[in-house]
Amino acid sequence: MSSRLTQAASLTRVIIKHGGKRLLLASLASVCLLLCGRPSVAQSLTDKLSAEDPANLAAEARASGNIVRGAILFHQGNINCAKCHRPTAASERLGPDLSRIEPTATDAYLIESILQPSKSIKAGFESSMLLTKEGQVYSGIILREDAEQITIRDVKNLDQPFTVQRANVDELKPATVSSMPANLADELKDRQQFLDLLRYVMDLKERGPEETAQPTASVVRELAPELHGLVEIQRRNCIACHGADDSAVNLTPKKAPDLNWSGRNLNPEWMERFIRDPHLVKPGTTMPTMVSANHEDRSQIATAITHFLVGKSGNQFTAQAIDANAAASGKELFHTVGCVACHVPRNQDGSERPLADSQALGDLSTKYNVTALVEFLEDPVRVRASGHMPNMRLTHREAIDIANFLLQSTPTVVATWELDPDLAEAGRSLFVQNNCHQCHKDVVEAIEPARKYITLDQANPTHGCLSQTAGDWPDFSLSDLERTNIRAALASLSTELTPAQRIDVSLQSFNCLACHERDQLGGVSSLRNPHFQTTNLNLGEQGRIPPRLTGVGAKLKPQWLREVLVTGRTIRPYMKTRMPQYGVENIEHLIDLFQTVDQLPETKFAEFHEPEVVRKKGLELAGTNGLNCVSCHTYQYKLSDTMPAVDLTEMADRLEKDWFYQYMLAPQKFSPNTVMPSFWPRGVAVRKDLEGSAEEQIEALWQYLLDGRQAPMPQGVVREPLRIVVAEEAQMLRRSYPGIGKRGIGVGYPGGVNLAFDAEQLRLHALWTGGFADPGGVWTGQGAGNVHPLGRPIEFSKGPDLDDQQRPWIVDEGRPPQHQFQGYLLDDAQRPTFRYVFDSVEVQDYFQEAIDESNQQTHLRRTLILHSPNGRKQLRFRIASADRIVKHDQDYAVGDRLKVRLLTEQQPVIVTSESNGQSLELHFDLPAGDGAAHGLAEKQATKLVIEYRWEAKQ
Amino acid sequence: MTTYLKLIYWTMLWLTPQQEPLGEYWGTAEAEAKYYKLVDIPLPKELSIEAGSFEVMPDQKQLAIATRRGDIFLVDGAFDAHPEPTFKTYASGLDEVFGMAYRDGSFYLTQQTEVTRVTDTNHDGRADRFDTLSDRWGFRNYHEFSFGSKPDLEGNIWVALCLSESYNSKVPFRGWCLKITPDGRTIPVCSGIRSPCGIGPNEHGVMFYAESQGPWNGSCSLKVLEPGGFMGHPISYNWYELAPEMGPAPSEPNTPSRLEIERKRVKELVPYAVVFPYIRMGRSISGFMVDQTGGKFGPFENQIFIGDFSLGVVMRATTEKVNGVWQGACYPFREGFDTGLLAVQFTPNGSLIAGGTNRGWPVRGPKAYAVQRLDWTGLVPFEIKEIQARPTGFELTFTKPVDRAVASHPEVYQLKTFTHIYHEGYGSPEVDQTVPIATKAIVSNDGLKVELQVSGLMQGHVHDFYLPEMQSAEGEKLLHTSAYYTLNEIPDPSR
Repeated sequence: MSSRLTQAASLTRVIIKHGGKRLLLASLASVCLLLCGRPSVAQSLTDKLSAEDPANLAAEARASGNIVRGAILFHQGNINCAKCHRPTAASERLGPDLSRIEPTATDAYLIESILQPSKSIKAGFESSMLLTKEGQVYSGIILREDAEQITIRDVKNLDQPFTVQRANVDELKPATVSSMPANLADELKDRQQFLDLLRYVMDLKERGPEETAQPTASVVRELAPELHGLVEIQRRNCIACHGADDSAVNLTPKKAPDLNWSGRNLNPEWMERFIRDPHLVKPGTTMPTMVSANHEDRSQIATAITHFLVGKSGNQFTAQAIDANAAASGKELFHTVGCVACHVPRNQDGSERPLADSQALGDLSTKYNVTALVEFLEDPVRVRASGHMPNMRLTHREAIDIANFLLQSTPTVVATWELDPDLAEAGRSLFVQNNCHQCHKDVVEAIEPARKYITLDQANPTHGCLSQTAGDWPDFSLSDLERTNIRAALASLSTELTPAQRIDVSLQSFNCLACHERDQLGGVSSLRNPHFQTTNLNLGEQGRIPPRLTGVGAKLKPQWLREVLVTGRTIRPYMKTRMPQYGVENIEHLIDLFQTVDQLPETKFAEFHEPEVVRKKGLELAGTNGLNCVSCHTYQYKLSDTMPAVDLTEMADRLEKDWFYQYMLAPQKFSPNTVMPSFWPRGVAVRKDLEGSAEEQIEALWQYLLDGRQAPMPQGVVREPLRIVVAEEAQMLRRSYPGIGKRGIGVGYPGGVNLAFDAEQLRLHALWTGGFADPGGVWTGQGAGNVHPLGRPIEFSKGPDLDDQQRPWIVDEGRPPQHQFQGYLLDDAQRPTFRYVFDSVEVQDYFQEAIDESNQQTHLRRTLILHSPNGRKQLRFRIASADRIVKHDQDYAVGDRLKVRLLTEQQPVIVTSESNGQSLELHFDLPAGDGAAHGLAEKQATKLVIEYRWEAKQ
Repeated sequence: MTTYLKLIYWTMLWLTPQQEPLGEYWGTAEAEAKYYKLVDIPLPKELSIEAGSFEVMPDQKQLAIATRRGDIFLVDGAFDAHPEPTFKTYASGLDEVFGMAYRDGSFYLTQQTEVTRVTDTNHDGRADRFDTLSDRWGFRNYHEFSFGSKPDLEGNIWVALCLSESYNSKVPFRGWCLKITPDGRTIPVCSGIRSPCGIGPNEHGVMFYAESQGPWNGSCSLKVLEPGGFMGHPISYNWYELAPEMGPAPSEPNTPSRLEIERKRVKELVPYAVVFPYIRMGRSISGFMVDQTGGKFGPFENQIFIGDFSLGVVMRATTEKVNGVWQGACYPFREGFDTGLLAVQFTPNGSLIAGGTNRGWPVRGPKAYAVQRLDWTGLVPFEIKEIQARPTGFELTFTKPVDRAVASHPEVYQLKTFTHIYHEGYGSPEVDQTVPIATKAIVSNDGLKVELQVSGLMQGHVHDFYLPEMQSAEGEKLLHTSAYYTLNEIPDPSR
């Protein structure tokens, strides 16, 4: 759909460019046509339906329209009515909320509105057309307009309203056509789908409005200043110097970066600069400028400390070349996996595109080389235990790509840097004197701080580092807002936070709020929104925007929440942004907190007595003849046709039962972005199963889902057809084929000729033309089935082909006692030569495809080489068998589909058995041969060449 | 019981475990990760690599993977620190390969149908010669799975043959172990197998197999493939007539009974050597291999590492021969694999490759199939390294010196015992529970061993050790607090 929209839009522009604005309306009509897709060759579905009596259509919809199917149609595919009519915030809607249509609206009115939307347009939903001076055309609903600008929601791009300056508007006028495309019904497959959809729309109207989530999207919660301040205090680890006083109940020490790692891996030149002027080198850093107003002094101290750190760890920094290909893939990753949720997006050359509220990275290329940045990106929490830079679950390759992208502007010259041991020694003292060790542990032995500071509760909020003047204190370069917030926090330092506040603080501190919204706090900002992407547009916003955390503690089981937070488990393969990992110790407290804070109102569960029966009902409901969950949801890794919605077989592992109940009743209350329709709108079931009880239906689904991965497959999940495709080489599969025990060998030859050989009874079992085989029966489930030939096999009798003429083995399902399979050899095109033994006779049995020059048909040519060291008399070889075999010249017609010809000089006989039809056999004595079969001296081995051709008529 | 009732009974028992939850996690995955890190071996999207068997190629760089679908892939780069492996198809079209070794230029495969020698005679990187070494067993039902060992010191491949439908023995040698010699002779070894899922030598070079819970098997266990022995499931007695060198069929075991009682009646009956208590220690134990990496995999040199198909965990086991009978212990090791494990393989770098699929049976783990590698991080976890039986109790060895004060308290060692009903029904609850008392704990001078004297040892019972209070000299708690010793025999001090 989206590509068609784009196409439509660009086409429109072309028309306007050439024809001027008089063509505006005409071109818009063409937009609608294009939107509606199918060119109307014959009479369209819309035309046919329009010709029918609305009363009849309505009556029929009431009688045979399926609400469930209608609900799914309403929400998906090319028609996607929900896109415009979805009843969340009114401001988001392009079309009326169908549940709020006047009850007086007749069925005929509904039918007319679907088939001919422009005939009567509902007040408030008149669309406008806007032409800009650049020739851009927008058509849709005006959302806002004032003296300066006009904001319009365009049908072509519903997710992003366009704002146009009035000065730039060429023409604005009401449209005479509805923004709802005409001929939408043509997107439906057939008349029945229309009836289903109509039935659902009638139902929507009759039920009236549903309970929804937020009445207005505009209510946004802000974190209180004292909580913001707490986050600021925590980030700067104030308690490291200002004492962990008992009154600072909400603060814990922060783990500063591991300087042993920095000393080993970072560019020493950068370290010097950063220690000297942290806020210049990395704006926004929580590292303070040391207590020394004098730039000169700071410079000396920074140099000495750098020598100390580098000397301690042994620096490994060298300049490294950048891999341009890696950088190119790095760019894509950087902008999709979630880096830009906190950092600013970048141009192709790696330069930054400034964006407010971003974590600055500073000039990375003077800080890291590729090796160091890769090591950091692979596990940032190891280097910075605080977890504020989380682990993005990058593979080694991905880390390399992103590192190359970020370091593209690496200076080619790296100043040589010599370690000075004296300076390093001095640096050690300075490190302690400046209290660096209060935050950066594990660098020097634990010693007392060089200088004592007052505890936080004693702190004067206008003095020291909180004053706006420089002085005998470190400089944190605080903004006014930060200072205000910190003061607020200090004022309420001893007030213990509520669990809900602790959650808010953690979400703010780890910037979870950049991606997740919780209780109207945070969420994806409009500026970063485009960087949240999906692999499947059908899922709508839900497919790309990380889930809301509102009520998550009541939704997810603690074990699952732990897996998500700690081990990075994910169930949304379609979401390109990754859930990072913050380090167990930093984040695990949230699991309990969510559980404590998030509570659901009491749920009325259905009672049931026969779990087996209920579970079976649930299975039915999940399938196409029930609520059709599988039309959107994945079942056991098997994606649905439309979208890869969350796997049904993982639901019960993840979700709390009461949440499931309540969510099912009103999905949009919990997840405003969801494309999932409610099947129990206003608590009333749309289906009659289980006496139409919503609770019992939901319970049945839950009982079914409880089986998890073991839950049986609902109707409508189509196993992907498996095909073994034969191209230039033969394909082979040893497995069970119909009519053979378990020791079957199927071979598909180039040219579409195939056989099945029985390696237990040593016989050609079947021949077919066409595709080779479907291994679904043996490659899925436990493998209990057969390989299915993709053609109509011609089957031959059981029992070995080569046997004693007088006393052949009496055929049963077992194994002939004097026969032994020995294996096979493959030729250059993977064609097997089967090797087997009967008594003293060694056999090589080889098939090859061959093309008949006269009619270009492919057939099989079988070459057998038999020998026996002492000779073997009275052998019988069965070439083929059928109900009836007839000789025509050189050929033998075997049944009515096969023609067989012997190319060597032996004379076959047709043998009729009482029970088993006829067989074409050779009766012969094998002379003694020494077994040098490959050399093939004619006297020592016997050769048979047989052609199997299909009758032309088939 | 009438046949009809019996059928219902069996059907119910067979169905029941399918609907049980898969069981609680040990909950130790996060802590384990500090010592043993799981590394993904990325698999190409277009191939379904449902690993059934692994082998390291002679160049020590290439990994061979044989699959349920019937392919053999040669994989370069699987042992790299950050694997980005490349896959080449060496052979395909085979039938569920559950056994693979590479010797003298050829692969020796065990597939459903046969043991096959597979060779690339023209050295183009793809197999072109397939020699059937033995297909002497019957194969008429898909569930008649065949698991083959790597060759023993004489080059013999031992093949454990699952029962028909895992309940019957309808064609020759289902439920037997056969030994296939390098020249293709087939020698029956023992009867009474139910549903094997792994086969190979223990740490003393004696051939064992992994048996699954089911009829005549109260729980999963490792059993020794004793030549002439009977592994416990009598349905395969009818093939003694095809193996005259084995002598007459053993007498029928009574049902219901106890292994400890029946093994005195049925002299060929080999008791399970290491019981894996159901769910607590896996639900379908599978492929195993002994750590002979020379310490590269950590402190568990010469121990058995065994996977589980249902729960995606790897466990450890140790065995010893006491009064002529094999027995030993199992210990939790690492959970959190992505799929059901069928096979494990130590690499030249001393890592453990593990892989499998979730196809066909209930399996925990997020992926349909996967190959993963377990790397030792170099840190030694504080673990019960090994338990051995002693005439008056047990000797426990730890991976690190214990806190002498804590470890000297006998109460630190909480013991329970149980056994199973030995019967033709499916599985067994844990029965005949007792609570023995540790009376004295003597810590060795190096602090690594504790001699535990126990009052109330129960011959024939699994002894369940639980040491939540144990502490190392450095104050660490045990990474896993439980271990399970199967005490078939109490060592006779005079022997």
